[in-house]
Amino acid sequence: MIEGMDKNFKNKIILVTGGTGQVGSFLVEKLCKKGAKVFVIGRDKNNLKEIEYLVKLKKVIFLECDLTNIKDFTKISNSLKKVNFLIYLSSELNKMKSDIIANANDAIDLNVKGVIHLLKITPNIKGIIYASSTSVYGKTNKNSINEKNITNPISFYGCSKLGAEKYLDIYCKYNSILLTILRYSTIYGPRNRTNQIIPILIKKALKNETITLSDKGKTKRDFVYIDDVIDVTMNSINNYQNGIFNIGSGKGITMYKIAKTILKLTNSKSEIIFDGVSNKLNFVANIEKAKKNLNLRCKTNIDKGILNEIKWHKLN
Amino acid sequence: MVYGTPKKNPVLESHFTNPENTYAASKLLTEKILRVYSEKMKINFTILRFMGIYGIVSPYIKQAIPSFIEKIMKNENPVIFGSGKVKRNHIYIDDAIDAIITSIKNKKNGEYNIGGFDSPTNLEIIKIINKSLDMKIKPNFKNSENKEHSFIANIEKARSILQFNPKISIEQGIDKTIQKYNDRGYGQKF
Repeated sequence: MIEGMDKNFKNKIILVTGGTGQVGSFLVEKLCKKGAKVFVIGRDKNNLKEIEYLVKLKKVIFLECDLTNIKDFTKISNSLKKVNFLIYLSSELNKMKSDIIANANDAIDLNVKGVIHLLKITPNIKGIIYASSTSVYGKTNKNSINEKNITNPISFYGCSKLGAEKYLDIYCKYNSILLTILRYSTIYGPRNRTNQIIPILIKKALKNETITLSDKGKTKRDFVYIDDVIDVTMNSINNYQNGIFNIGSGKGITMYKIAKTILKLTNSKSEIIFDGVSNKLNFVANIEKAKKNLNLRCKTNIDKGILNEIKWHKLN
Repeated sequence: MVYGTPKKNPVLESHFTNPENTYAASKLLTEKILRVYSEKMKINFTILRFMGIYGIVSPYIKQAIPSFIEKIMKNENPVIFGSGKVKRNHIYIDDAIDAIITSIKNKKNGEYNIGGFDSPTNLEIIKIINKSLDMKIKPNFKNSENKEHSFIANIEKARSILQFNPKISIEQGIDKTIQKYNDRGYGQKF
């Protein structure tokens, strides 16, 4: 840890959007410990999950607001005038609809318009951390993707994250605000409520259901453990600097290896079958820039990380 | 404009995209959304990245070429922001329309730069306008708010894949534009 770190937090009034999510809740707990004043925006004051105790203790001020509903902003705008640091973690992934236009709208409403509206009511912000995603890159043939890689998202979610990056870049340059864009790869570990591959496989394994993998299980992906994500995110708040950073493990793991690990750690009787689909969506992040500038360290090995996530799912 | 400040000219479609204003950011976001939508729906998508289009008579257009023409027609000094020495391959309206027509015919996916026949500087444009109107009006210079840079779109991809071929030289384009102003009485009106 860097000397004088806590001092950097004590003079910050931080707004965290998505503060009840996986990254958000761990981060909010850490920020409170460091003595930062923390505001959290969320959609439902009756669903505070892991940060409920902090709200009860008045360590966190919770503001109920749907970032896709502009009318909600007037309710909270007075409270946010003093905020000097924004951490934007909101990103809806769970409520996919079958109508693809509706999906596009939802992604743009939250990830692009949400952040633009929020900037209007937070005039004193000096620094922003925007949680983007490695989905901005889209399909790629390379073994390892760095931040300069071409961005051609294959999902509306990826489009919306990329769009927000571009708008924020312009806004922050124009207003002399420091902007750190963290392109997270697939995050796993406790409090993972997403419908991504690891929680899906864990749930199936725990019920001994058959697991189906595409590409003969050979698809390689980059999974990064939540604690490592929190550490690097804290580093970037403490020592904030302009730029775009991939946040991943820097290693590709095949889906077959992930599935096998989960089956072993859950003592599951699930069978693995291959569906014959070949989509070749390999993705491994090059994380050298974040290692160098944000002191990213991946300390958690995949076995231990998955075990911790399994334990959490068993209790929740 | 989706490219931002070019690393080098002429600018290829594969140049990084770093929009420097919200207009350009919105264009880029729309490109990305259309790409995903078209792939999901299995429909063709052709994205035409236009350079500045001229040759339309509109009181709302405050771009370089129409503003220069209006001023010189009024016997006033046109205003150049910056040195006037940076180059752009402005495209004449008829060539721009041709680009759209040929894209509809060819149905080729992807992004294409659409730019004009040649890449004049603002100083050269003013000379051409003066020549066309048989006048000798000098420009006034004002400091540019932004750092100025040439922007020349490389249009070879559109040439080879869309069979797009801009035909109107800047001299012809300016003559035609001035003719339009005259036909509609703009010259007298000022």
